[in-house]
Order: sequence, then structure tokens, then C-alpha cells
Amino acid sequence: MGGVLKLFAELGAGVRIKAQILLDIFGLLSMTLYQSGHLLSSARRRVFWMLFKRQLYNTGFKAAYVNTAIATFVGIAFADQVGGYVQKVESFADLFVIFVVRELAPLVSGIILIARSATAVTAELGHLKLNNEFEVLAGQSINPIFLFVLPIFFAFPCSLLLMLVYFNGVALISSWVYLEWFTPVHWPWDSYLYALTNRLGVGELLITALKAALGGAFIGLICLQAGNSVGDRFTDISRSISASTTTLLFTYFAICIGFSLVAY
Amino acid sequence: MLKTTNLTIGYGGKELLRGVNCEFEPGQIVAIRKAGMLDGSSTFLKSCAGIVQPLTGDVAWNGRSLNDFNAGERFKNFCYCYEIGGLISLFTVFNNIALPITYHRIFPRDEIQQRIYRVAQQMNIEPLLSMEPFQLNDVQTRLVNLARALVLDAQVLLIDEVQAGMPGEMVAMVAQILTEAARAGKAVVMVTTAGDDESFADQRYLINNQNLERVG
Repeated sequence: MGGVLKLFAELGAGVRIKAQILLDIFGLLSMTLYQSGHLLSSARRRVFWMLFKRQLYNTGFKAAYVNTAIATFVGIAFADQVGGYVQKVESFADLFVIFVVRELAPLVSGIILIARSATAVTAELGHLKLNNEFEVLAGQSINPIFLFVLPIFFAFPCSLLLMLVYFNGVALISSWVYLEWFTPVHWPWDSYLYALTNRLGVGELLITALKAALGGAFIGLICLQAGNSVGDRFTDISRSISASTTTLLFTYFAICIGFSLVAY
Repeated sequence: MLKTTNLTIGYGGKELLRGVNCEFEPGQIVAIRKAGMLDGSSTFLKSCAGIVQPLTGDVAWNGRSLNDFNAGERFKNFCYCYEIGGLISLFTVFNNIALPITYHRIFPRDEIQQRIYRVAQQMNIEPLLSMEPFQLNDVQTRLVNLARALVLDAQVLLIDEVQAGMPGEMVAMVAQILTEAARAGKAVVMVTTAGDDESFADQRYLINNQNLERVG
């Protein structure tokens, strides 16, 4: 009996912690949306813009090389596996859009964003908190949400969208180059590009953009919540990073797969 | 006038200072000598700046309670200069000084730059303006904190152990700057430690038995 009660207590504690995290994230979301009202002021927009550009550069542009490298490998692997089975460029384009554009590009780009930037943001925010920089801002009557959270909340979706564009572009080019140079399949570049762009409708692009917007925003919020949960010890930072990474991967995969199931 | 009425401060239920009643006049420099570790001196200054809520009692400026000031007004009037840190590590020193002034639109954009360079020149910290906070030592960090308060033109300067570790000529420079600020009508309250120069202070207090005791 005692064992069963203990099990229930542990399950209850686990559920309570998850519910608390969820409430924290939604609280953070509402405060962030509220603080975004300050962007109407040109002076505050200047402060925001400085941090937003820094975050976009670190998250979106600096990730370009790793994104490009992985997209090249994915493009080559896809061309190698699929190129031999399909005869028509239109069929290749169909499969490219279904596998690469719809699923692989968002998943891989999201994983890169989580691994490269979300963990860094959690560490940075944890460090700012340990360093009493939240208190410094409070002393200056500046809401830390405006300064530390808002730029990341907006930069992450933009970065993810940029990463998706790189990824799809590079995978598309590397597939064609591989097919052209290393396989007997030869499709003229014009018809290859036409078949792919023809297959990518407005709806397809809209869903991809929505995945990036929602996925990026949630990645930002979760890593910010984790950074904000850092207590007084330095070791809290590593603990927060590791806990948030698991949550980030689950949430992001759920968003991507959920979107695909609903939209397609 | 900055007035504390029956001010009790502390952390987590532990009282550091109890029932402090003080009046600090504009145009005067007040030195509060530390009694040791965890004597509540920094927390007292933070309470006067509205950063830390007192456990009981009130702080008022010219008869108006600090609780009645909105966030922007409070920051414009009361500036706490940190002993350690006090800067945002995401910004350069220049942007750290400019941040609150820009955010609260206290001065126009051009004037902010002019003010920062003027104060930096006066304090010999111009070379620090392009540096990151992590590149500064503690003394430089305290000078930057003081520079921010001067650029802001706050009415009450609450300065925490600014002289610690400073060479003599730098202490003299700080004393001159604070004297000028007091002459300009500002209330200057500074926490000092043994060995610090308090000769330029108009009033001296000592933290004794969890209260402020006037000694000069």
C-alpha cells in the first residue's frame, strides 16, 4: 500500500512540475506579447533593434554553414536514393517536396536551432540572472522581458525561416549537382527548377512559414523559461539546459508532425 | 529631502537594519560607514532607490513616498551605483550608460551622446566606452556606474563603496565630482569602509546595533 501511495505521489509531483513549466511558458508568452507594445515607441524600438539584430546574426546567419553542410548531405542522399527509381523530373519534385521541404528541412533546421542557439540562450539568460542583471534592469525601471526576452522571441522564428530557406535551396542544388555528375539521370536545370517551383504552391510555403513561426517562437519561449528558472547556483544552468533540450525536442517534433498531419 | 521613516530592511525575514529614521538634504554629501559584512548598508541604499522593498517603513522624496513614483520617475530621480556589477553584459560601456536614458526618453538622442562623452571626459573613462563589461575591473565598473548616474542627472545619488581599491588621485577625483554634484543640489549618500576618505562629506553615519548612528 505504501509503495502504491509513493508511486502516486511521485507521478503527481511529476505532473505538477510539467504543469508548472507549461504555465510558466504561457505566462512568459503573455508577458512578452504585452511588452511588445513598447515597440511602438521609437526610442525603445532602437534598443530592441540592436538586440534583435545581434540575435538574428548569431542564430540565423552564423548557423548558415552547418545548415548548408547538412542540407548538402541530405540533398545528395536524397538524389542518390530516389534519383534511380523515378523516371520523370515531376515525380522527383513531388518526392523532394514531400520528404525534404515538408519534413526534413523543418526537423533538421529546428534541431540545429535547438542545439546551437536555444541552449546558448538558456545559458546566457541563466548567466544574466546569476549575475543579478535582472535586478540591475529593475533598478533602471526596465522590464527584463523587454530587453532579454522580446528580441529572442522575435529573432528565433525569423532565424528558423531563414534556415529553412537555406536548407531547401542548398538541398535542391546539391541534389541536381549529384544527379548530373554522378548518376545517369540528366535533367536540364531549367526543367528541374520549374518542376520543383511548380510543386511548391502558396499553401506549401505558408505552412512552412507557419511551422517556422510557431516552432521558432516555442523554441524561444521554452529556452527562455529554462534560463529564467536558474536559481542561485552555477550548476542550475547546466541542469536547465539539459532539461530544456529534452522539452524542446519533444515540443518541436510535436509541432512539426502535428502541422504535417493536419495540413497535408 | 530624502527621508526614511521607521525603515526596516532585510532578507528572508532576517532584519539587517531596524527602524531607521534619517533625513538627507539636497546639496549635502552623507557618508555611511559600513559595520562589516551583511550590515545592510547596500540594502539600505537599494531601498532608498526603490530596488529593494523594505520590510516595514517608508522612503520619501520631498514628502512624496517612493511607492507613489512610477517606474520611470523613480529611476530619473534615484540612481543606485553598484559596488560590483551593475552593468548589462550584452552591451558595451557606452550602451550601458545610454540604455536607461534612451529607454525612458529622458534626453534627446544627440544630447545623450554629448552628455556621455562630457562625463566620460570629466572622469577619464573615455577609453572604457567601447569596452565590454567583462573587460573592466571592479574600480572601472564602479566609475562607469557613477558616470551613468551623472549622465542621468539623478536627484539622489546612492553610491556603494565607490572608493574601494582606488588609488589616491582617483579618490580625489571622485570626491571632487561628488562635491560638484552636491553643489548642483543633488543629495549624495555613499557607503564607505574603513580607510575611505570621508573628509568631503557633510554628514557621517555609522551602522551600529542595526541602526544608523550619526557621528558627525
